[in-house]
Amino acid sequence: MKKTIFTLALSLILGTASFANNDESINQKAVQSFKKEFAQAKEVSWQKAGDLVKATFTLNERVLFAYYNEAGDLMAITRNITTDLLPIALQTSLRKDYAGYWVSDLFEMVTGGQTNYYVTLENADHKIVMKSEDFGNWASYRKERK
Amino acid sequence: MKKFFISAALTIAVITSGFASDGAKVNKKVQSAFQKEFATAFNPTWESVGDGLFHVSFTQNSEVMDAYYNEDAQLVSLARFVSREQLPILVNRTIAERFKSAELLEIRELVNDNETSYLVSAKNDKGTTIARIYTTGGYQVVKKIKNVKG
Repeated sequence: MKKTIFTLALSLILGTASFANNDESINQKAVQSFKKEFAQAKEVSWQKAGDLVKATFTLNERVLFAYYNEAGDLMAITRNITTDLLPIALQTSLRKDYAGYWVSDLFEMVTGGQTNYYVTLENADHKIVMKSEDFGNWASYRKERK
Repeated sequence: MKKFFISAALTIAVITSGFASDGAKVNKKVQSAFQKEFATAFNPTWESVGDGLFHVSFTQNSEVMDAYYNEDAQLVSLARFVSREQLPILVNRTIAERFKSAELLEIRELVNDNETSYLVSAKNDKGTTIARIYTTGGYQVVKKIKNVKG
């Protein structure tokens, strides 16, 4: 499971996740699990990619994504956010410690009952991906020169 | 155990903040620590909240924030009002489950001992509940106030 989550996080960060629209072939175990887990979900659509299926939906007026494996287990919930929606300690850390960077991607990911945030920061020379270790600190996840 | 009591005292202080201002005299060490941590803070107002704690209310990045310092100038707690959109997914889910038929009065984000949690005040026909929701979605009632009959 850890490997699947790592691969999912990395593909979301790199933007390489490709999901094919194919409602008919969506695993019904995943669909049933989803209906049980997110009974109030609206505007649900399904996509498939490799071993995982992805549900895009609206809940409490927020767009969320849920990822299921073939057994119908919920692997992750994610949502794209802006900096002002980060918890205050993470937001403050970005403003203080990475003032020279701009945010090119930011999302929240829930796996195994734990929440992490992934941020992609860029300046003219570098691109840094960081993962929140808790709700107060960022840890470098990937760094590359442009 | 002492940490627990300070944490509980801070939670109560956050709930009741804004109700009293005694124009507390704050030592320079505390003021200096505050100015270093919140360099762009606007309009700070100080008060003493007991147990050797000082509360400062201020505006930063258009948000009203509350910080709590001890006598050693350590930042022990930070709080701000947040909207539901600012809540983590698991916290929002707990609110949806626990307060289905209640009206949400206010939500505060609270950072205490490097731990983030959310204080939610919600009202229904029986009364008002103030609950603490942890980032894992865990839920703890802090205070319940019954509606006055008649």
